[in-house]
Amino acid sequence: MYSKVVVTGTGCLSDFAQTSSELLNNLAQGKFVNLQPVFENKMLKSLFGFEHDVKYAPLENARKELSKKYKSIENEKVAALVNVTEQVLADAKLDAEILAQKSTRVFWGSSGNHPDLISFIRELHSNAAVDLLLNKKITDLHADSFRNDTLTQPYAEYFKLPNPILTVSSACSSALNAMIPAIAMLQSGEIDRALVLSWQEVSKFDILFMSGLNIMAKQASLPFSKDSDGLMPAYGVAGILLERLDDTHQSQTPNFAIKAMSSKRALSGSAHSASLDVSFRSISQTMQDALDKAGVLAEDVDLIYPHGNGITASDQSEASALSQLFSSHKAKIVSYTEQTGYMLSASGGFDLILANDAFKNNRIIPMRSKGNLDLTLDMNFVFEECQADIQYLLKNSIGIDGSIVSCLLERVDHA
Amino acid sequence: MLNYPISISGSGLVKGLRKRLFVPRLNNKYEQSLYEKVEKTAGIQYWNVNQFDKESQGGHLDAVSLAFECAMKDAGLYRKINKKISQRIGIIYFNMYGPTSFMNKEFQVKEMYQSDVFPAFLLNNHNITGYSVRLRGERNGFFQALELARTLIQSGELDIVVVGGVFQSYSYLYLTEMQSLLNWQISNKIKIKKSSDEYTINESAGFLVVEASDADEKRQPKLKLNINSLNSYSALKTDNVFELPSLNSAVEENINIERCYLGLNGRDEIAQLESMLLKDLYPEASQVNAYKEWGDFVNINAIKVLHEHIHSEISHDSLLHSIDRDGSAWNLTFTNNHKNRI
Repeated sequence: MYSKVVVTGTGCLSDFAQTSSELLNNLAQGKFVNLQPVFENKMLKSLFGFEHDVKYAPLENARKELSKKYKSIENEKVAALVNVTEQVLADAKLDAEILAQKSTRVFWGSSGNHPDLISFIRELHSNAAVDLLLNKKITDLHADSFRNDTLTQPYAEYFKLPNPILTVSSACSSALNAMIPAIAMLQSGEIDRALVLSWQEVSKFDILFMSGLNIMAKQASLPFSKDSDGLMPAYGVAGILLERLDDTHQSQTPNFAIKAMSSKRALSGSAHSASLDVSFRSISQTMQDALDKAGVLAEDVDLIYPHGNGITASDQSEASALSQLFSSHKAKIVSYTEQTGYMLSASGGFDLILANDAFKNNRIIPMRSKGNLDLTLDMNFVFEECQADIQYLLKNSIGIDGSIVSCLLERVDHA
Repeated sequence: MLNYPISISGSGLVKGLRKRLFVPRLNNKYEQSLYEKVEKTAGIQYWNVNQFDKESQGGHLDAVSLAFECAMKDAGLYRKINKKISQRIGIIYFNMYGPTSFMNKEFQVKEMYQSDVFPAFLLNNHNITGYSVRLRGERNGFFQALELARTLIQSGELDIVVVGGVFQSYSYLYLTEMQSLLNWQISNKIKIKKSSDEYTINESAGFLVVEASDADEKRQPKLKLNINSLNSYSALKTDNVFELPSLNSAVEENINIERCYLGLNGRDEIAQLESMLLKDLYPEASQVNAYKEWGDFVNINAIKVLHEHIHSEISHDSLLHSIDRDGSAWNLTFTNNHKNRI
């Protein structure tokens, strides 16, 4: 069982919301993210072999604005990470100097840096002198565009980090999987603070990859609905600061602790197949393991944030697992993915911001869906704002790599 | 700082066997211009690349599969992972550049998934269902992975962690990597020797089995390497000047090091700086320049060193030092445990 590690600060950035409070306000108002077509150029669309207008939320404008704000930072991705870090520190009432201490570690839950294919795809295998003249972006075909330290180094320099950044990737469960070593280091006393930033940009490479796997939505992404035909990716950055409850500052009033976490891998059938079909048994076992570690019964869980990404096979498995463990109990369920866009690696991080609000304000912001949630007939989804005294909250994350993480959160009483 | 005893009980390494001298493609002007720039700056004229031989070795994923299997056999774990312990074993995997499979002309989505996301077939083949992730750490990826493995074992999350990855060579990337490294040397005031030179890059896959030092007593693996300390430090001062002497503060006192491994960065000039400093700290210790001894295995260099060491008869305390282009530096001290050796 985990001793009390608490979340003392949060921050976020996406096309849906650029701060934690904006995220909560926009959801409370029932807003949906504005998605834009991936390929505005028809030639490009056909070059990549797309017949449909796939959509995403690429965080273009916000990144440009942040680049103007952080003039000393050349890389837009780093500016976004610095912005969210500053949000987290402000929320935790801490100065940036805290990151320069040896007792603080930074973790990234992310697939890390990678280039955008669009810059050089045509010249990848052959090119002439004229191509070099016409396409200046061919220079993106460079180790610096692929190396992760192109991002970690300027970030580390900005905050004068004394320790290396640990970048952990497990596809869409990266945010929660990055928390596991962070919590372990906190509990062993090796560090006093852990900043966990989860993020994933949505490049043309990602779009090509997801389309190749046939998981990009062509019409609509409606988690837990049979009408959903895939996911709608969104570039998101989420940050949380983890500290031991005993070490929190007087001015901090953390609302919840990480009670227990369980991280597992589902095995897929054949040796060389992609394990997209995570079985409901594996999800169910992972949730049960988190409950067992915490010594908490399923009937004690008040609220669940499922992963729910809009891929029917994945949603069906998760719905079955939730139904098996929780159908006869009171647990309420909310999923905001359809409204915010699917934040990929950062999806778990965004839900922890929402958890903070649920514990703090004893409320569940209602979810909105344009679909019929017919994969989950016996589940207790929340469509009306309600007050709730939440003691335990369960968060799931599922990665395309077969990773499953369940995280049980517990209210912190300050009485 | 390592504050929990761990050991390495198995290692597997597969090196590319297809030797070729790299020549830029005639229909690729960009590749030609990169080659010319590096030749001019570094004086490197001959790029030797030992690639995975498709006919006898298969592709890089086959090499990953084989190296992993060898490590598991070495540790006495091959086909011995049952349902009971399956969740107690995990994998920490790393490659050098993140997603690169689209660089292969004949790439397929299934390969992209296994290559760029996670080689899930390792889990399936060996019945592993514990915490498993991919790391992004370039040349120092191994040290970050080892630190993470130690954290997971110490916290009770896992009992055994298999740590390793793969290096695949891409002309654009190793030429620009060298270009960046040379720029890095210039900005950090490290002189570049303009001499005629050749360079050998080895495609490779390597894995090590890591567990708590006292956890493998029942199995009694034939080989065992005790990890004594693991430290990281920044070798860059605030004004971006390279400063190796900070290693002084990172090395544990009272360890009688008799052998130092260095040169994992792949540049002679940096290896010479490392050598001078380590000579000051450990005047009696012998030094092995990993690049000169075995060629550049890039992000697999540290695994190559430990793989050679664990299979040798050397029994004294040794140190492995590594520095990457971002200034992050690691040192690892270890001792061969020959207790079980026949």
